[in-house]
Amino acid sequence: MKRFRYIWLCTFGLLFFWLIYLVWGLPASKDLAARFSGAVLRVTQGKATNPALFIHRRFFEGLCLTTLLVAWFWWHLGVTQVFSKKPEKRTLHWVVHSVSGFLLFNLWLGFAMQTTFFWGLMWQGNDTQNLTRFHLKRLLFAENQSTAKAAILGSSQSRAQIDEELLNKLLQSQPRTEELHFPGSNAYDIWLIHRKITKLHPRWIIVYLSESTFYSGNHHDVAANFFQFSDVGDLLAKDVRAHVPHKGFGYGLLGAALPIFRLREVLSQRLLGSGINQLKQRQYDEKFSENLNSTAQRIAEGYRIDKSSEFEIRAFSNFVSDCEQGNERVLILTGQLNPILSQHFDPAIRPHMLSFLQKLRDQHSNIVLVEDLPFQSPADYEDLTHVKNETEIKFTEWVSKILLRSALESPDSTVTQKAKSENTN
Amino acid sequence: MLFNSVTFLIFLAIVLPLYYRLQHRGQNWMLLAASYVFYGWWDARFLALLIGSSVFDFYCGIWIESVSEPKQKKWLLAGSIMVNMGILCAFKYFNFFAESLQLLLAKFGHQASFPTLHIILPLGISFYTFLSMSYTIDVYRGEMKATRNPIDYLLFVAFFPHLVAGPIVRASYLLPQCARPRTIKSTAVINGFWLILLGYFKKVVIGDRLAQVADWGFSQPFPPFSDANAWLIVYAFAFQIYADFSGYSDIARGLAKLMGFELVENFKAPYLVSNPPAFWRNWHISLSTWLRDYLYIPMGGNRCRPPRIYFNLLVTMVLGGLWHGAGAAYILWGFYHGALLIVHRLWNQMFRKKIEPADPPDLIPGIKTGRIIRIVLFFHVTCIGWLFFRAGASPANFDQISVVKGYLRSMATTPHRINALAVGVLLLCGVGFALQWKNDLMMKFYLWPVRWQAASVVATLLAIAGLGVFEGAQFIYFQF
Repeated sequence: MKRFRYIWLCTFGLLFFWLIYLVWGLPASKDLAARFSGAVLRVTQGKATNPALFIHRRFFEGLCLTTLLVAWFWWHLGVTQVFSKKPEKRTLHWVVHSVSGFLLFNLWLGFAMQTTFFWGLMWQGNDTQNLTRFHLKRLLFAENQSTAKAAILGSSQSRAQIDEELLNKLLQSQPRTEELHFPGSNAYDIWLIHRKITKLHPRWIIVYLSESTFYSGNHHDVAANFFQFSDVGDLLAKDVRAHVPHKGFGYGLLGAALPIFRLREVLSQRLLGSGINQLKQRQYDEKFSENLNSTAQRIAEGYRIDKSSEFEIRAFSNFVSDCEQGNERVLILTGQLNPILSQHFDPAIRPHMLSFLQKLRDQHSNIVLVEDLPFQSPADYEDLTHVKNETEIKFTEWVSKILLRSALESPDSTVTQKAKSENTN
Repeated sequence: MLFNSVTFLIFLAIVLPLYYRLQHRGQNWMLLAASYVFYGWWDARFLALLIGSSVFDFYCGIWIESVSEPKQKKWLLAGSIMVNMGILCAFKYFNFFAESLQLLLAKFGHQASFPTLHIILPLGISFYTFLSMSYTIDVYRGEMKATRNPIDYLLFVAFFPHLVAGPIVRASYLLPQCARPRTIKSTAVINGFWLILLGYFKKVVIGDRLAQVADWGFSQPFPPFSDANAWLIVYAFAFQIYADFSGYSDIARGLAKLMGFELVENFKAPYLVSNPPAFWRNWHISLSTWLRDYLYIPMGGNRCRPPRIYFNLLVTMVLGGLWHGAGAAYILWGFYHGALLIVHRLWNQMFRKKIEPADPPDLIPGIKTGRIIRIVLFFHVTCIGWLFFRAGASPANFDQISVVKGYLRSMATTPHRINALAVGVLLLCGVGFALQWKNDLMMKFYLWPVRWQAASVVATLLAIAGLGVFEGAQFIYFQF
C-alpha cells in the first residue's frame, strides 16, 4: 500500500488544485494579469493580446496535462495490481507495462502538442526550434480574439522579407498578422501547412513567392513535420508520390502515430541544447558563406522547368482553390531571390512563373497579385535568399500600404474601415 | 543493409518467424541463405569472395587434420594464412603500401610509379578473414577438431549478426553452437530483446548525436581551430566510437540470443579503467584476445627478455592499428597504445614494490577518490589516442598528421569560453559513462524487478524515438 500513498497524495493534491481553479481561476488570472501584463506581452512578443485569458488558459492546460500524467500512473498501478495475483506471468507483466506505457505517453504527448503550455516549455529564445516556433505562433494566433486575421505562409524567405510585429504596428493589428512560415517550404508544403491552419479562419493569406517556391525541387522536411493521416488522400495522386520524397510521408505518418517521433528535434534541442542540434545548419551556413558566386552557380543548376515544377504549380493552384472555398483572400507577392543567384537561372523560368500566377489571378477572384515589388539588389541580401534587417523593414512598410490598398476592395468591413480612415488621412 | 534501417527490420520480420518454425538443419540452411542475402544486399559481387574464402578454409581445416606430417600441416596452415592475408592486403593495404613505398623511394631520390587498384573495400573483410584464420590455426594446434559439415562452417563465418562488424567469435566457441540443436530459452529472448534495444539506444541516441559533433569538429580547417573546445570534440568522438561499436555488438549479441546463439561480450567498461592492459581487457575484447592468442603469444609473449617483450607489444599493437585501416594515423594509434603498454610495464617493474602511492582521502565516504582520479587521467590519455584514430578518417584534402598536431595544440591551451556544444556533449558522455558503470547490471535484464524492466524499456523506447538520429548513419566499424 506504500506505493499507493504517493499516488493518492498526488491525486488529492490535483483535485484540490482543480477546485481552486474552478472557484478562483478566473479572478486569480485577472489579478495576475493586472500585475504582470507587461511581462506576459514581453514574453509572448505581443501575441497574447488578452493577458488574463492567456494566464487562465495556461492554468487549465497545466492542470489537464498533470491530470493525464496522474491517470497514466494510476493505469500502471492498476496493471501491477492485476498481475500481482499472477506471479507466473512475470514476462507478460512487464511487456504490458512497457507497451502501454510507451503508447499512453505518446497519447499524452499528442494532447500536449495542442497546448501552448507544452510548447512554451520548449521555448529557447533565439535558438528555439522551428517546429516549436510554428506551433506556439499557431496556438497564440488561435487564442487571439481579433476578427480580422492574416497569416503569412511560405519559406524562411517570407520570414526574412516581412516583419509581422512591425506590420501589426503599422496596421494597428487590423488585420492581426501572424507569420506561420516553415523553412524550406515549397508550393506543396504551403498547401500542406495551410490545411493545418484553416481552423484559425484567417481572412488574408500572404505569400511571398519566388523561383525557389516552384523550381527548386522538393525536400522532405515539411512533410516530415506536418503530414497527418488526414493527408493520406494526397498519396493517391501519382504526382505527389513521384515528387515529394517518400521519407517525408514516412516520417510524417510515423510522427502522426507516435508524437514523440515528431518531436525528436524539439526534444533533443531542449535536452541537449541548440549547440548539437543546429550543427548541420551551422555546417550548411559555413559552406554557404564561402564564395557566394560559385555557390550560386551550383545551386542555380538545380532550378529548372520540369515535371517537378509543374507539380508544385498544380499544388499551389489547389492551395488557392482551398483558400477560395474557405473565403480567404490570398495576397501573392511576386518576389525574387538574390540577383547573384537568379542571374544564373534559365531565362525562361521567371516569365513562366509570372504567366502562371497571372492565369491564377484570372481564374480565382480571391487572389490579389502584386507584381511590381521594389527591386532588391545584392547589397540588400545577407545571403542568396534572405534580406538584411533594413531591407526587411522597408519591405514591411511597403507591404502594409499594399494591404491597406487591397483592403479597400475587401468585403471585410473591419479592415475596410481602417483602410478608409487611412485614405482619408 | 544497416541494422538501423527499415530494410533490416523487414528482413528480420521474415527471418525470425521462419527460423522458429524450422528444425535444426533447416535452421542452419535458412540462416546461411539469409546471411548471404544480408551480405549481398550491400554488394552481391563480393559474395563470391566471402563464399570462396570460407570454402577454401573449410577444406584447409580438413586437410590440416587429415595429414600426419607436421611439415605438411605447417604448409597448409601457411597457405590458409597467406590466402586470407593476401585477400585482406589486396583489398585493404595494396594502395597504402604502394603509395608509402613510392614516398620512401622519392625521399632517396628514386622516382617510381606503382599501379593502384581501384576497388571497393568489401564489407567486413577484416572480420571474416580473421575469423577464418582463427579456425585453421585452432585446428592446426589441435585445440579443436575440423568440422566435416560445410553448412555449419559456412554459417559460422557468414552468420549475419556478427559478419560485418564482429565480434570476432572463435570457431571453438561458435562452431559447436552451429553444429548442435539450439534451445531458445525465454531468459535469452528477454535478454536478447533488451540488448537490441540498448544497442539501438547507444547507436542512434549517443553515437549518432555525438557523430554530428565529431564530424563537424574534424571537418574544420587547421590551423587555427576557431571557437570550439578541442577536448569537447575529442570526448564526442571517444563516446561516439564507444556507443557506435558497443551498440552494434549489443545488437549482434541480442539478435544471436533470439536465435539461441551466444556471442562473446565485446565491450565492458573501457573508460572506467586506470591502465592500458585493463583498457584492452574491456575494449574490442574479441580483437584484443585474437591478437594476444594468435600474434603476441606465438611471438613469445611475456616469456622473453624485456626488450623482446616490448618489441612484441609494439608489433602487436601496430598491426592491431593497421587492422583498423590503411593509414599513417592508424599506425600511429597502434604505436601509441603499444608505447602505453610498454610504459605501464616499465612503471610496474620499477615502482610496484618500492612505492605504494598513497591514495588521497576519500572526499565522499565509500567513493575511492584516488581510483577516480586515475580513471579520469587514463580516460584523457585514451582520448589522445582517439585523436590519432579519428584523424585517419579526415577529409582527403587534410594532412592527417597536421590534423593531429592542430588538435594537440588546441588541447594544450585553456579554453577561453565553454562552447555551446558542451551541455549536449557532456550529457551524452555522462550517459555513456553511466552505461559502462552499470555494464554488468545491463547484461542481466531478466533478473531486474518488473517495475525496473518496464520503466527501462519505456524510457529507452522514448529516448530512441525522441532523441535518436534516423538519417541512416553507417556503423563506424563497417569501414574496417
